Amino acid sequence: MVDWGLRSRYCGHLSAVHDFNTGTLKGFPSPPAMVRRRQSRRVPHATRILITAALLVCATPALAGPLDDPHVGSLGFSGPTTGDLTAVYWNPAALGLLQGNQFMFGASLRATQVTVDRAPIDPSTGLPGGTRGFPSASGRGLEQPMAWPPGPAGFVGVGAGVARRFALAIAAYTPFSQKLSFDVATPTRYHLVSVDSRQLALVTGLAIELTDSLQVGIAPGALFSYGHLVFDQDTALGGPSVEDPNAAARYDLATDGTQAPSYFVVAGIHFRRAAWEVGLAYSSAPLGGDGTVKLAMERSQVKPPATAATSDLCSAVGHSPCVSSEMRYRLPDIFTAGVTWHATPHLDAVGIVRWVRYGEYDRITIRLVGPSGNGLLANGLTDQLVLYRGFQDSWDLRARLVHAPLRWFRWSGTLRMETSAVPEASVSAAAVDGLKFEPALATEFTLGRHLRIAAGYALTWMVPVTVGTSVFNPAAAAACAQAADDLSSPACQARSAGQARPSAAGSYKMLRHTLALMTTVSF
Amino acid sequence: MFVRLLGTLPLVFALAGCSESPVFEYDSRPIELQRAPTASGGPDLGATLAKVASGSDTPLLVIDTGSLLSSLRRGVCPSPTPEPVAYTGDIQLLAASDTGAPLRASFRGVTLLDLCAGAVGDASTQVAGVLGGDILRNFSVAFALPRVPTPTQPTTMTIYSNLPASDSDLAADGYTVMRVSLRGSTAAATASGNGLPGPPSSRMMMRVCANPPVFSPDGTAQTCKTGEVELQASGTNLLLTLSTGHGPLVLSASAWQRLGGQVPAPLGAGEPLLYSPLTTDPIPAHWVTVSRLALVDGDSGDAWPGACAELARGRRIEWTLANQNNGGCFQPCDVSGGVALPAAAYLEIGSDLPAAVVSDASDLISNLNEDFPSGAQVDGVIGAATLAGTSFEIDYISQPQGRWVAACLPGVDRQTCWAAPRCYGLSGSGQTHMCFGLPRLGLAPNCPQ
Repeated sequence: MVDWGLRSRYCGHLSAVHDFNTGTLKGFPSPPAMVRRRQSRRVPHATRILITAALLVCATPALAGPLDDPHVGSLGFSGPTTGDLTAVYWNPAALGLLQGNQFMFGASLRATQVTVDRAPIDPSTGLPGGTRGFPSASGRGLEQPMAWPPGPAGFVGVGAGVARRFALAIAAYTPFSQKLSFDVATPTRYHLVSVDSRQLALVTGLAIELTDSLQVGIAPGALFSYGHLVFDQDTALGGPSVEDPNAAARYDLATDGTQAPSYFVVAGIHFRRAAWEVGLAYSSAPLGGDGTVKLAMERSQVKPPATAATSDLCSAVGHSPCVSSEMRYRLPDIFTAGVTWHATPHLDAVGIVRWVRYGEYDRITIRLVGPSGNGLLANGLTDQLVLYRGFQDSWDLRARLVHAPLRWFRWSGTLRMETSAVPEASVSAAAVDGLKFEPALATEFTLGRHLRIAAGYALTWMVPVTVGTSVFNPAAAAACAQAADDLSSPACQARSAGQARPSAAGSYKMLRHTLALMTTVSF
Repeated sequence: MFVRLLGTLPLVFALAGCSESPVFEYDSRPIELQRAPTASGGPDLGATLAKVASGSDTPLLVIDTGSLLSSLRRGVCPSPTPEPVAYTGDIQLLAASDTGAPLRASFRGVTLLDLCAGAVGDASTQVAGVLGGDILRNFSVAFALPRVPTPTQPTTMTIYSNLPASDSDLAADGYTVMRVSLRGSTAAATASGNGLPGPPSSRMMMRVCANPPVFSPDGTAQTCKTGEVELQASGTNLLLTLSTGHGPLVLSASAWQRLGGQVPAPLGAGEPLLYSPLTTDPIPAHWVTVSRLALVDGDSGDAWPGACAELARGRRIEWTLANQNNGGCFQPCDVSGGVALPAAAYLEIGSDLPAAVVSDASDLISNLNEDFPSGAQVDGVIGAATLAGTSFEIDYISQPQGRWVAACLPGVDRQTCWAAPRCYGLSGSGQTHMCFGLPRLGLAPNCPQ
């Protein structure tokens, strides 16, 4: 592994300084207020439409990526210019648009299906291009908030406008999550058998109205992490029996509930002028420690391969689990920008761009400690694993129309496009991603003076990804061993980066259905 | 070799420490090491040695947990110019294996001293530098020190970014876990009096019981009445620094005398010199053997009875557990409030460990005590040969104290190495525990007063 940029401790400080200025442009009214707002007529409609279209087209396509929840809060109405409690996530400055007190509760049901068709491999080397084929593997993930630890895909918040110029809120949501399970004996086992990763955010938000058109906001939060990761390690990698199930050790690593939190902050500005609202926001990665999340995996188990001397590491110490581990990875920071144009009293056009800096999420590092004596190393099991991810920054672009034909009813249509957070060569069952398109429809009903209920549906389709040349190179392990573990050799560099694993060449398809429900109570 | 540097250290760190961000590259896999001789003519079980890239050469580099600073010679020795000079440089760490010298770790942009490091072990084992605690303390570093290194079981060092398990989990998994003070940070400031920061704390101070009697749970029980815990202790309490840059156990003359040994005058006449990475010149030494050594977890607080008393208590508790089905019971001095006290973790090593006795006024002992609070006394060094047959990991990352996590290597008998994790007492009859390698046991009774 490489520890980049660790500043000399003699100076007594580390180099992880997060740049923290983001802004959010300021914003626009919550839906009921929006309808009431007087519209500017200074710019001709055609010009405004062109400007909006240009903004939407020129902005790079958006990303949500395999970890990111692109629909925090409601599906179809929320964004960086939206003055409801979801602003705690999207843009805290927009909290300043809150009128009175508000309570929001939302839940989504997110069903993901991934299909992996691995390319045949040469049974002697493990490299693609041979005669050993694999059956198609199907992975499924159903995310919903009614679980413990909480989330993902839920949102709950409460807030209030205070003394005209201030707004306060507190909210909980899950900005990052990943859930996917394959069969136990899946051909994808060396990359993923199953994963359930959640980052639950508990955030307080404050917005201040600096002028009638400019607001700023900040929302510091705590991120509670939970993780459960299962995969196999080929202990005979580089030998004559590549991907032999008898030589596969199973690593089943899980936290014991949620972990002590790391901390992050969201900050933004919101600007409003005539019929336009602009919001800009920045959501930091976990603060301190280079943005690294450290998860103590207290419920870890390692099952030695059938070829090992022992089948149960824990038998000698008389208790299970007997393996402790820690998982480390980085989370991205996110820049968000949004523009809303109130084209008519009943129609809004919205553009949202998110830049998710996934480039930091390049690997997962796992350290394990097993029983003394006949433990991990004595059974040929590694106690330090690097799982290569190799993510890249991604962009999420969405265009939305919100139409409110009646005082008690509005609907929206959104088209979202998201670039891949994973380069094609780095795609594996553990990191399936590609260019995605997502149409979404949402409706909202206002019931009486206090209650609004919104529902939405989105279908996410990923352009199928075919991995010809995978970064995962099973021959690297043997080549590195032959180079006497010389870190300067390309094979050992690949092994250090976590790329010395069975090939992930093949084709990948992903489809996701998202159904969301959000209730808003104003009081 | 570093004694002469103490006065200049603050300036070294003020100038060189804050300029660059070091970059570390390693793969957390074992790095094969060589061993220096323990002394002239001694076996190659001494200081741990790697190689280092230096131009087209690959000279030896001593891995020393007892050195506060790292060094790498850039020119010839002896130096034509005054030394030392601090600079920002790289250590390209190479394995010292029979099959070559592959690059195994890289420490780039680190503060190094340019000086002639001299020899370790014997005069012929010249090293180009030291990988010291200032770099090692960024990691959790594991060593495996077999009694007889072979190609299939070599001496190795593994660099990890952390050691994730808790003390209790490690104890349950059979490891001896000790919380140890890291010392050294105030040495330079104290020496120079200029208030600038000194080198970081990285020396591990171990509480040790030297020459305890041989113990077997099959032997006879030791009785101990209330208040007799220190009275029943056997052996001599020592405070020692762990230094993999040394081979033998090194004791000050006064410590050796506390063990009942004789110190000849002049000390070390006609005997091999001790070559230490902490001193410029070899040190006259009187070579002896110490029968056994027990490294015991504990602190120096007023209530702490000392390493030998804790060791005796641990042995009594082990005897009780091993014999509780035959009437074994906890001795009154090991019971508080009706509940047996926990047995401290310890690692016992034997037998007839080679030791070098050096003068209390030697540069080595002076160096070790430079930063120590008045009243305390560092008695010497635990070298790599002393720990033969063990594997251990120094968790520098753990806060607020470092951790030393040790186990015996497979195939080593109890009289050579015995790792006893902390044994927590039971407070209720429904509870069970596993201690001292014994089967799971329930609550043992207390002996009558």
